[in-house]
Amino acid sequence: MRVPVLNATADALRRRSPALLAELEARFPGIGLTVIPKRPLGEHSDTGPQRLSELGDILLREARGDLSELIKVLSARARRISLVRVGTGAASAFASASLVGLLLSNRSGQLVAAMVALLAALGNLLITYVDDFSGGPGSTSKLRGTLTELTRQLTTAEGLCRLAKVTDDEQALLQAITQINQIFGEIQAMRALLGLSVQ
Amino acid sequence: MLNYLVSRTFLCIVALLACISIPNATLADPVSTALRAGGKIAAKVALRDAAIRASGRRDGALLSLAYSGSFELTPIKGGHLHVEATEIDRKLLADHASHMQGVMLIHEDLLRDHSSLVEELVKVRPDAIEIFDSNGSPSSLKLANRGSSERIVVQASKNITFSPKAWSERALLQQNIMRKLSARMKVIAIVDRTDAVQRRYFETALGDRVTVVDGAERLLAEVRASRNRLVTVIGHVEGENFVLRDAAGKALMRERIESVHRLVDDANSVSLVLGCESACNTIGTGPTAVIDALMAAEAIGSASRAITPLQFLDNLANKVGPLHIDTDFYGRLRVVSEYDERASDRIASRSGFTVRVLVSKSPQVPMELEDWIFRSIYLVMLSLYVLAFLVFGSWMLPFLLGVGPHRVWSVTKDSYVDFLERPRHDVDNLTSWEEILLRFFGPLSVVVGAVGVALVATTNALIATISYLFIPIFAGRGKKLAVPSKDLAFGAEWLGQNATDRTAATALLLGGGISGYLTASSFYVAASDLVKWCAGLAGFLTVFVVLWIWPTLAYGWFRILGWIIRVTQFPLRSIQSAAAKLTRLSA
Repeated sequence: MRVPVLNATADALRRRSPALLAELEARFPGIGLTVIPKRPLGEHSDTGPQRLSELGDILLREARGDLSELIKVLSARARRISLVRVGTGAASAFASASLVGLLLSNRSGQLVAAMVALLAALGNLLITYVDDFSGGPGSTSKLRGTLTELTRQLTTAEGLCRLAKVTDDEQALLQAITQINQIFGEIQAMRALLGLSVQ
Repeated sequence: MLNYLVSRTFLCIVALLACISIPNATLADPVSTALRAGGKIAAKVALRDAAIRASGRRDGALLSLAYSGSFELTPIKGGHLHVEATEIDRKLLADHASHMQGVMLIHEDLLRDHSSLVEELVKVRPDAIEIFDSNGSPSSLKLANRGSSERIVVQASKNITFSPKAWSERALLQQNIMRKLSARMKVIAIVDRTDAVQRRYFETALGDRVTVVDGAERLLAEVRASRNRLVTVIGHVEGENFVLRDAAGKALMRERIESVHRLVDDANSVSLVLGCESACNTIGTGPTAVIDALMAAEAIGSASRAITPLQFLDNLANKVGPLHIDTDFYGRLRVVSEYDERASDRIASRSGFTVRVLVSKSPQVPMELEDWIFRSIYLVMLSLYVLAFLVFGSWMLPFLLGVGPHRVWSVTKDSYVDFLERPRHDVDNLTSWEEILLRFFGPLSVVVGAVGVALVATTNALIATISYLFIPIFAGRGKKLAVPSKDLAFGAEWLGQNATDRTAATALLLGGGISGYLTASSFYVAASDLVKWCAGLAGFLTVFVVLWIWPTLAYGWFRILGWIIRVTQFPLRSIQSAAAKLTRLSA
């Protein structure tokens, strides 16, 4: 049985709960769960059978927690973007309705109205860029999509873990743990894109 | 009378120059024989001095070669060398060594030329045999397990060992070029997109010197773009490939290491490849330690502050484990981890390897601005030398045939006036500018525009062609001429390095073309014939260009150039250091 190297899991746990990582390192040696970060350039050898079912539960819990934190951060960002969008939209509408011009009723008023409309439109464009396109994979909308996908994968992994416990299927358990490791990897990548700490 | 004396004097000078350039092997020069004998004595004295320094007041013995070619042992007591040495037969040397006390010192040349004997001695007396260089710096010799056999290695430092052959070529690694190489170091780390920690490690340790790639296309593009650099590629190796796996263990990329090396070579760069295969464990030997990418990143970051490549490797070895330096199939230096030295015997065509540096024998040290400035200045100065040589030489050359300067001047003016189809009485009505130009270039034009120029050019072409046919024989493995170092003025090294006795003979044959030209030509130039004039000039310049740019120059010509350069060394060095200061200030 080939146990995968859980580098991404170790990185996430090192950040979230170093004490837990130390405990896991002692209980499950040789699968990359190390307190000191390591990236061996060689292939590691099989470590033999271990009680991975317990590991699966622990990792699921931590992955859920990490994903929730990320969802909170991204949601806050999305709210901020929405607020700015509302503000710029309102300013644009206000200016285009010539209310400013009406109130000031002079040449300056027209100028101010035009400037406000321009700034609002530019602001809207900027927010659209931040929301949709900035940095490509780092855009908020893409990150939201990735988060949704990760949540779905986590649910699948959870199901696999439960099934593996019931059927005593090591292969399924390994698959679940591998998937959780992948999820942690994606979370790390997203945290790096959002400028959050990764270690 | 005066002309006669002057011409004969110059003939003597030319004869002397010819004697200098004729190889010792053909003329049995007694002077050079005496010099060689004197050189041997001087070498012996230098060897003893170096051995005394290497002994460091320890007791032992110096093993060296006697004048007769046999081996001799000279006892060392308290850092003093005995005057008398004992000659020992090779077959008895190992037995004698096993009974002696103290350290046995061996010069590195002896290790290079008699490595099997030294290996026997090390087996008999492990940890008591040391080699030393001409500066008297000692290094231990050890026996190391390499697969199923034992070989001697030179323990250069705690974590670096050399094979004997690599040791003899270590000068390359001791040059102070690491500053420039580090400035031009590029690290390409193959890291998955989701491994943010590893990416952060590389960026923190190496800053903008690192490029992280996560695909084969990007990897190869980055290697291609890294011209004239020290390229370090760090990635997981499986078999013959760089393999990148994602967090699920799925292979995202598989690229042959050989293709990376080829691209590095094409880009005129030096490669340092860090990877690992199968727990980096040589069969039956060595620890099962694995090179860690994060440690390697830190190691490269700290090692790049080294001054020489050897220091760089030493610092690297402190992090990634002991390194062994030997030579590969092509004779290039390479560095391998002791954890998998077996893999160093293959040149990226078979299984993976751990750490390998392939350094060509003539590394292309990247040109800095100061190098360009200096080279440009040197080329300009060299052109001026050539021009000056041609101009003044053309005044001296007619003396070889007994033609005095007045006659040459008269012929020059006549030829000039005839060439321009002016009346003859204009010879006495030349302007001052014309006189100046004619004094400089007149005789040269007369010489090259001599009658029969087409025939002479053909003669030159024939002789040069025949000489070329003999060059592979003459220039192949000639005995190196003992070019005095004072003639190796900077910029002239590339001339002197290939000067051998046989290439001197080659150049003499080529030079025969010139003398053939001179004897076959007349100094009564039919300069009105522009075609002949141009053909003659072309032929003359061709011979000179061939002589000047062909690396195997005649020693005689070379000495003249070396003397000229040496005389003007001081202003050139001043210019070089000023250029260096200027570039540093601007940087």
